[in-house]
Amino acid sequence: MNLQELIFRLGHFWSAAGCLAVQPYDIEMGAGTMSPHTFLRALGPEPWNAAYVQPSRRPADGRYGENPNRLFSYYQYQVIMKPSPDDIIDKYLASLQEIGIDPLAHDIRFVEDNWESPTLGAWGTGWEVWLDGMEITQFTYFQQVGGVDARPVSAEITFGVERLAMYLQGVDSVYDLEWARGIKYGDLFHQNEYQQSKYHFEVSDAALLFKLFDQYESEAKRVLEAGLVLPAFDWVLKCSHSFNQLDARGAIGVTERASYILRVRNLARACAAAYIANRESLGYPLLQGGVHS
Amino acid sequence: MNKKLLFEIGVEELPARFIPGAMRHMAERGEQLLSAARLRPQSVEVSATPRRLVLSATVSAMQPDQQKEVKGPPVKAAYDAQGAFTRAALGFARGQGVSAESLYRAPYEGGEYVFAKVEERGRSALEVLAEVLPELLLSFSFPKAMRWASYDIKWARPIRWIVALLGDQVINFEVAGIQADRQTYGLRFLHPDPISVPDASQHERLLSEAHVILNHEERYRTIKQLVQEAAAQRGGHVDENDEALFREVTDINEYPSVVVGGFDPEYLKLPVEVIITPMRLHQKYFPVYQTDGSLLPLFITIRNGLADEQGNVRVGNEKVLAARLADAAFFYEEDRKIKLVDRLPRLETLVFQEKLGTMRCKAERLQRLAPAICRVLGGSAQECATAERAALLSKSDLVTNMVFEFTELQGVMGGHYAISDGEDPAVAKAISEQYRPNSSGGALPETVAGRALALADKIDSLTGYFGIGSIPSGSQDPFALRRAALGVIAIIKEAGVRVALTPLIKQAYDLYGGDVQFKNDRSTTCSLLDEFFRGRMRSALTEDGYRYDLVDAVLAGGELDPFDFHTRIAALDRVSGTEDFLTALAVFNRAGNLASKATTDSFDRGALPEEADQQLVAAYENARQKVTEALHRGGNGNGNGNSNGDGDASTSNVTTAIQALAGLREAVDYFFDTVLVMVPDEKIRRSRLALLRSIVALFDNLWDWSKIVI
Repeated sequence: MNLQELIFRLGHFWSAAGCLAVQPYDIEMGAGTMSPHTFLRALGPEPWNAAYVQPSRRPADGRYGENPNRLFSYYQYQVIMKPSPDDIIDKYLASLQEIGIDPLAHDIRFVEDNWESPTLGAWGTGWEVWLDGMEITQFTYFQQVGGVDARPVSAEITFGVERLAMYLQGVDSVYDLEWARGIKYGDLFHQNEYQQSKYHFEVSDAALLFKLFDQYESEAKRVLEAGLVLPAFDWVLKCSHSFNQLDARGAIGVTERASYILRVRNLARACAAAYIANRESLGYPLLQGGVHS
Repeated sequence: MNKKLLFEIGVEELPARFIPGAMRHMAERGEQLLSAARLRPQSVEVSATPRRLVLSATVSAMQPDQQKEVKGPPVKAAYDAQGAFTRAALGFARGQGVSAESLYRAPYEGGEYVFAKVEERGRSALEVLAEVLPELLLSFSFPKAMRWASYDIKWARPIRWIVALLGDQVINFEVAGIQADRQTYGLRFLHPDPISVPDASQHERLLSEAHVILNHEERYRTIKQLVQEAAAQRGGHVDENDEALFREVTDINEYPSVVVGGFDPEYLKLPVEVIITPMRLHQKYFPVYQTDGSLLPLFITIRNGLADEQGNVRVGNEKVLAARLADAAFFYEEDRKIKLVDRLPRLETLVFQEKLGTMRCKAERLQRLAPAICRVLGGSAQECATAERAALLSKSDLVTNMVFEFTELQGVMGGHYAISDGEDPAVAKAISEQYRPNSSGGALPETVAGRALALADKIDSLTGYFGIGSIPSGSQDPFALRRAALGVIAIIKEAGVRVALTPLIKQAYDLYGGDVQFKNDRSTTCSLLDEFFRGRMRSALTEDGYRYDLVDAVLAGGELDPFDFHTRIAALDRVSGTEDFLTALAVFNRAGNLASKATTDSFDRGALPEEADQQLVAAYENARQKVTEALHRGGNGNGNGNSNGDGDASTSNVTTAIQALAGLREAVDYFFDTVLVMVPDEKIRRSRLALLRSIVALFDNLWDWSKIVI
């Protein structure tokens, strides 16, 4: 099964399971959880079921295209269901069968792993799911998001698309993955991995990035004060990404690190509070059953 | 009549670390609640798998009837002036369903009231259990609890089904949207459909048919046997004492099958810890050893399900391990390119604790503290120099790739890298021992320099955290300071040398220097740590099985010296039943009553008029000489000058001292029988009190006798 087929199959499955097939968010971020489709929608009483591919970028994980497993940029397949359905694990296992993993022919484990994001002021309980000893999924019941107790609780399922595809295709290097017939992952992205690694480790301008971080932060605050939480959150994402860029460049000392994380967290918390107030003022439109079955 | 009770809480996969505590709780609290509900529980048994907690018991089908006494109105309000029942009394009797004539009077809390004897019919167990079982379910507390969906309950993981049967009947209740029923589930993938349990007694059998070994001990034994047989078939063995791993694997499987995989023998060139750490801690594999203790290029893992006929599980796990070992080999290669000593500048960017500075500063403090401790331990000049060098390099492995990836290997990797840097093997050994003991009862450092460094590391942390006011309380101990203190105690006990901790804490405090803003000053920090250490000593000694009053007696005074505490408690424990001891205790009690009234302990022998006075003075002086000789003749002989009295409280010395104290008996009795202490003449009175106080002071050399309960 090539990689794009894997994405299609997951999309069909989760769509049939009641999820909206929303599209990737268009601002750079480190993980699908940071997308407004998850971070903001997980807040408040409104139901929300969605699944999407989220291109994710982690500057510090770049390896110049030389490491078979580590990437600057990669894809997450993200499922979020609120409230968490009672049969969510059965759904998840059925999705594995859908992409050709027969649980009877493999060893599937739920190993305790409680997710936590200091930058988002968020944490949850759950597992990493192992397939014959290899982690293929992160499974989380959100307990807090942006410092706010999650009620009702969402279930979040994050598949590492490349990891899963490597397993299914039996290849040892991500660059050997078949994206579509005749086209390899390396053909598409190797140069990007090399150039982005080179840029983030050697070429990026730390002084500029520090300036951008400050500007993004003040713009987020200004926009929040103007009562516009959605554009404000975009600036928070920008802020978070420039922090990651600075981190990759080794420009932030260990002691300063905590204070930068705290600055992003404060913004994320402010957005969470503003988003909840905003939805309340709108009368929680999705509570009216308007979304879908 | 008795019936079998079965209560199963079906959950999504529980964290393995929660299971032992949850089983204990279910058994204890379950038995308590069933007894309190008068259901006379017998053979209460608890089992668990990752997906279920199960309690079974035999209980009475009915509560027994019981007679209750119910308090009514006060007598004054129950009878009118003619002595007839008032309306209040009649109403009370009617309300309790008894005749007014059967009311009786009885005192209650200073007043007199009328009472009714009421027969309460026992309720059926089915009805009572519908209240007891939800209460039991809600009484669990977990290290980390969670909510799910929209339910108002917090539990370890979402609850998905409940089986509650009394014999063949369902006990009716609902929790978190789940109706208790008779439907259970077998092994996840093989048996996705519910299984109906017709009767409580068939639950375990039906589960075993559905590929779940419910019994915890049976699963544990099965796993142990499977793993040992698999190792033996390949000419090796596993570490059968690796209880932590066997227990954890028991708690992550419902139906164990064994899978054996291999790895490239090339990796056997790596240090053994580098190979087995990812295996054990990350992948839960059992490493396989040869008779000479070296590793075979194999691993054993337990699969949750049937045998791996197609080999998928083996191949998948082999790939995962190969990737991890490839990483480890790469790190090992890379890390050795930079010497530990050349990594010191990098430690400036690694924070030990925000307020307490960097790891570089910590290494420099240890460089001073470790050799000082080494001297106290009686180390040679050579050993002290080893401790100093090891201390300087002790934190450098924290900035290696390997330790960044496998934190558990801190210290151990430092030892390997020190060898590869060409350091003295003794230095390498001390570095590798610095974090011991890793767990309660874990291996201790074996060398003097290793002990010195391990003690220095812990004393430095304890002093720093207490200095900034970060002190463990209740369940809050984020920096594992309790474990650090217990480690200090264990190392000193093992070393068998007197070590007064307070001077070392003072030194550690001063070494932090002016850069650190402490919240507590030095003497406050010392007294907080004194109390903290005595608290840890109390748990360590109580756990060793010593009587609590003896432990309290020993800990009430004396220098903060774990070795001395251990010697004194051992001695006290041995002598506490002897006749001399009881005699000495009687002397202490007799003298002690009045001694507390003394204002001084210097008495004027010439001021004491009676023969009994003089006899007691003579007996006191004789006893004092013997006690002093007994307790101060020993000493540990290293002459380190660390403790102010280098006395030795070994059992034989203590026995001698106690004989001397018991010898006071006759003179003390004669004294109290013939003279009056509290005479009007102030000079005589004061001298007699001072004499008694001096006698009590002799006892104080040993422990606080007033804490001892006979």
